Amino acid sequence: MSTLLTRYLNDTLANDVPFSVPAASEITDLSHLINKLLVAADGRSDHKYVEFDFLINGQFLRMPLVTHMEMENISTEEVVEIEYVEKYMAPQPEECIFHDDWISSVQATEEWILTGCYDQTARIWSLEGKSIMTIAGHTEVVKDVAWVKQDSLSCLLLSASMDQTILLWEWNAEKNKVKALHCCRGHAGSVDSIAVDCTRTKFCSGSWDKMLKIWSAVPTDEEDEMEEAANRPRKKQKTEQLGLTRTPLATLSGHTEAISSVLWSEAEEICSASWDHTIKLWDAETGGLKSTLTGNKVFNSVSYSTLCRRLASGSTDRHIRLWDPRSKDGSLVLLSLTSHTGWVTSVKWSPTHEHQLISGSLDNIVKLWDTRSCKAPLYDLAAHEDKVLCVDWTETGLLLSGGADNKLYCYRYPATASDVGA
Amino acid sequence: MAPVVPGAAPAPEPWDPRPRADPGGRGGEGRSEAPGALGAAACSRCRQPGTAAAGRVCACACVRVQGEQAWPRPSENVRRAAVCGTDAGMRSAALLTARSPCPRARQAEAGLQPTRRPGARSHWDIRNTVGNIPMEWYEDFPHIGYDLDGKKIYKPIRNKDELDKFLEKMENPDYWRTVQDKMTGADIKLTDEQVDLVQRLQKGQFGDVHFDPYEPAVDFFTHEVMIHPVTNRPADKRSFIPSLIEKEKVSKLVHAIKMGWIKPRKPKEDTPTYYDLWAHEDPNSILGRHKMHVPAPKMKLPGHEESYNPPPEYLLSEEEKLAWEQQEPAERKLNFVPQQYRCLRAVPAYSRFIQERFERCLDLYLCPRQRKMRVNVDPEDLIPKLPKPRDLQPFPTTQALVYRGHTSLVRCLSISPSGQWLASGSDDCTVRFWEVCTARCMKTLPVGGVVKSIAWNPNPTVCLVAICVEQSVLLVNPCLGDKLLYGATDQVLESYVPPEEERVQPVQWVTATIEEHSKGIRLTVQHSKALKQVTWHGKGDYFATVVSDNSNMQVLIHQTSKRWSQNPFRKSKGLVQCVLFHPIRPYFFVATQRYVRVYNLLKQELTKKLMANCKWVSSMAIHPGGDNVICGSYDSKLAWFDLDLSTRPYQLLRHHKKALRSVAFHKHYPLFASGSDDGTVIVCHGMVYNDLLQNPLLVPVKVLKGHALTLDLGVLDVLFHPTQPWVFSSGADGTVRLFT
Repeated sequence: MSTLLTRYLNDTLANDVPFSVPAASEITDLSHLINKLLVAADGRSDHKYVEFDFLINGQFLRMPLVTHMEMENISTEEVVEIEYVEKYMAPQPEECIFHDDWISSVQATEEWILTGCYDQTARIWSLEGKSIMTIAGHTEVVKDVAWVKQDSLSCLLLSASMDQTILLWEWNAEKNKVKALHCCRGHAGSVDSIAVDCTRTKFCSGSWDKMLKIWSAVPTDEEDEMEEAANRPRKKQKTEQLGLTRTPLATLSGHTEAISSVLWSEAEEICSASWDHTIKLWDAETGGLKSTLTGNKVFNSVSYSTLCRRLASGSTDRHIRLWDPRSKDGSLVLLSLTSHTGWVTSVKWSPTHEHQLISGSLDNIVKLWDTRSCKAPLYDLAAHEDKVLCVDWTETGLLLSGGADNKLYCYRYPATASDVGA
Repeated sequence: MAPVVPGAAPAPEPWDPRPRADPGGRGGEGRSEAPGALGAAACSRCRQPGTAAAGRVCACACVRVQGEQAWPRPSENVRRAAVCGTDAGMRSAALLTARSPCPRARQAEAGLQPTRRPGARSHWDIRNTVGNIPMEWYEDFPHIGYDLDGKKIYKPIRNKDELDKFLEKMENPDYWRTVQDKMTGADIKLTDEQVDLVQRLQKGQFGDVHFDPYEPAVDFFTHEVMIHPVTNRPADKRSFIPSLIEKEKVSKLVHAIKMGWIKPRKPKEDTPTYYDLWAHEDPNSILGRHKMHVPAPKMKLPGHEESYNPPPEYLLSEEEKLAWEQQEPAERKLNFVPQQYRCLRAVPAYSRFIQERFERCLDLYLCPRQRKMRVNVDPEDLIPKLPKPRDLQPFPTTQALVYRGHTSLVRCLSISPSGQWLASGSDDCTVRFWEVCTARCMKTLPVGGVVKSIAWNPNPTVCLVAICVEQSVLLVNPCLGDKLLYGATDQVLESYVPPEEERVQPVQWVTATIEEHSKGIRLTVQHSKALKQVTWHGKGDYFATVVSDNSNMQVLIHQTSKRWSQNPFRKSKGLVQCVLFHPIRPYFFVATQRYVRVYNLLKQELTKKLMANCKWVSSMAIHPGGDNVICGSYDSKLAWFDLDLSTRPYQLLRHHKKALRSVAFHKHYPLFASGSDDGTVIVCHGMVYNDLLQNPLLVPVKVLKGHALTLDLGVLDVLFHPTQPWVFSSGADGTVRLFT
């Protein structure tokens, strides 16, 4: 028999009396208890039964209390503080958007979803799953897409492709017209990842040619001079170029293998994950290398949460690892989230919740994680029939995942639940 | 006390051999005793010279030879028949059959008594009444006790001196059977029957001559189960009413058990306990010497020369015989002359037999008894300690991706130098190009023939793939990767200017048509025979092809930039299985069925010939350092050669169950892999040290399974990723798999 002290953040139950509960009790038992207490405190009979989740020292309770405490080495002699939060509701499936080919990337805003596709196009969809625009222009597979800016009239968006270019597009939502503004040339390999900074004036790109390049995202009317234009006159004649050529503002080299994922972690800090088993943090202004986090597997994807200031990485093993980028040289892996059975191709932190993230894997499953429960995910979203290649999480609580089965799945996830008990 | 036979009792029959009921009611005792248990006893009838008053007394006394008891017994009424009642106070020891009469005594008495009868008293009883006391007490008295009337019984007069005794001994023929009655002091002459009885008892026989111990047994109660009861008495009530006493006893026991006063009996241990006789044995004791057994030296076994009919080369010639005879016996190589006999029957007795036996005995006696020390070595200890696989990370462990698309078996694999693209050639007459990290098929190139071999140009600045299709090598630009690179490759190929004079070449170089060009094919090198293999030189300009042929035209070396081909060998050295260029030095490896020949291309000579120790080499790979070669063979062996060490395999690994199809080295990691027909890929750690003194360390680390067996074929090709510790395998099931 262990004694537990429930700490109530709910006003109705503001007392510090410890409750004695059976050691073998599980989540449902504790839930019943809390519900009864709430009814008693309310004094009303119309209390609706609420399911709760429980946290002990910041870890979700997923098994009987005594087993959990044994595993966590918590003494049963002392008073245990158990925190309760309302149980997160399962993500509700909303849309399934069919593509013509594999979906390589997805990014959504409040209104639209932008996807990159292996049929060399980028597509814009409404949240209801209606195809609004197909942006064709690349000569190779589109590997990554990104929104730059959304005004009422026109939106700026980016698409990176295996044809070594990044195209900056202007999309007029009202007229539904799209126009290639700039063609960013400079990479000597497939551009696998792009990220736009928080000021929406710059973006960076990581490529198979091991280079990280920073570009301006501001549309201009001038064409940058290509340095080696003279070298390849034939090439220029041959390919009909879309938009004006743009050259990078800066090139950061340091990776010894392909860069698989880039992001802006802070205003002037770029984080890049690479196949050379490292995550590097760069100073975007000076172009210098700030620190290196070394793993032992190829990194497929990396994501940064401004809420908890952690990096999450997906690699070519089964684990999602959480890193603290500020640790110097310790390259500290804070946590491993293990439940996938294939490579983790894509991870994305929740923009609104500091503990939650989503991951997609080659085992066809998208998993919703809470970092307080690292052994098991909160939910498995097993809708895909083939490899999951990209996931996204919008601020409005929409989970998106696209994969090699040509389908983009949308889930509505109640973001409100994240605040209870937190 | 033995009962006294009352004098008033009717005299028993003079001789009744049968036992009868004891008048005193104690007959059971006398009869029941067996005679075997006793010592000799004598029943004597004595005649007492007696005093005048007592007259002649006749009594029968029974004397136990043991002597502790001697009870005077009135055996008889005196006058007529004195019966020796021998039942004797010996009711338990029972010496005689009860009441054996003494006819002789009776006779003797009958003969004497009339003359001495005093007439006053018809019944004499000289029974001594002193009781069971030591008779020595009366030694100093003239009498020896008291009779029933309280009168003294006087000792008989013994006034004979030694001479008289001697004379009596000499004269009296019955002297030997005369005994003295201790109680009365009288001499008693034993009768014949009594002597007989004594003799019988001494022999351990029954006292009664007529007693038959072997009378047929009477089966009063038959052993057979009868259907009727012996008695018809109804059962007792108590036999079916529970006994109160028992109940009380049981309840007492139960109570005692409950209280723990009685412990239930321990179950008997079934296992027999043995005493280990040798457990504490001192090894130095005499027994220890048996353990330190030193075997006798063995005799030499007879050879051919000992045969009765040795082969002629063992027979001594005349000169040899002469030499043998002249030699000292100790110096002779043989101590006999081999001789030939027609048959075994004709062999005479061996004349030196005894002599040789004696020598053998001398040998046994004088042989140095040295104990051979054997070392107990655990065979496990002799195996070198290999590190655990988990310490040798990284190596591929799990299947990560499956590249699906081919419809027939995938024979060959090749990967771009950057590791981004994978090319696979299949029996479905296509070559597919895959994106490695997503398993996306980027391009499918139909080539119109079975693809036997495929090789990506190792030069990272050239984007060219050589594909063996039937009789030609296609040089294909896959147009993947850097646009600049593949554009530059095309430029280089197009910039070729044909030489002015036509050269004689073993092959034909054909520029691709426009249609072919659109598919990516740039050049076709047409051979005269079907091709087996193509491999690039590390610089990416030269490539070698293997033709399935038996002539000296099997191996050709081509130069892409000059479109020039040559045949390096004048002579065929057997069926060439595969060829490889040395990664650094100008060496060329040619694997034939059983040998791997290493040629120096600069000096144009054979440098080494490696013996593969297997029947049929199937594949070969060279360590990126260039000093080690592995060969896979169809007899499921993998041979690792250390070129600095020997031309024989440094190690032969037999981990696969079926023929090996392909072997591969990793460029950076110390890994090599082999794919086999049993559907598995075995990844081994193969560490090569820079230190020349240290041999390579080979540890099998992982068996990778995944390919389904199709047409008895499993894995057809294995290939490592150029930068990551990943291995690709292509199988007969039409898939390519990536293990990471």
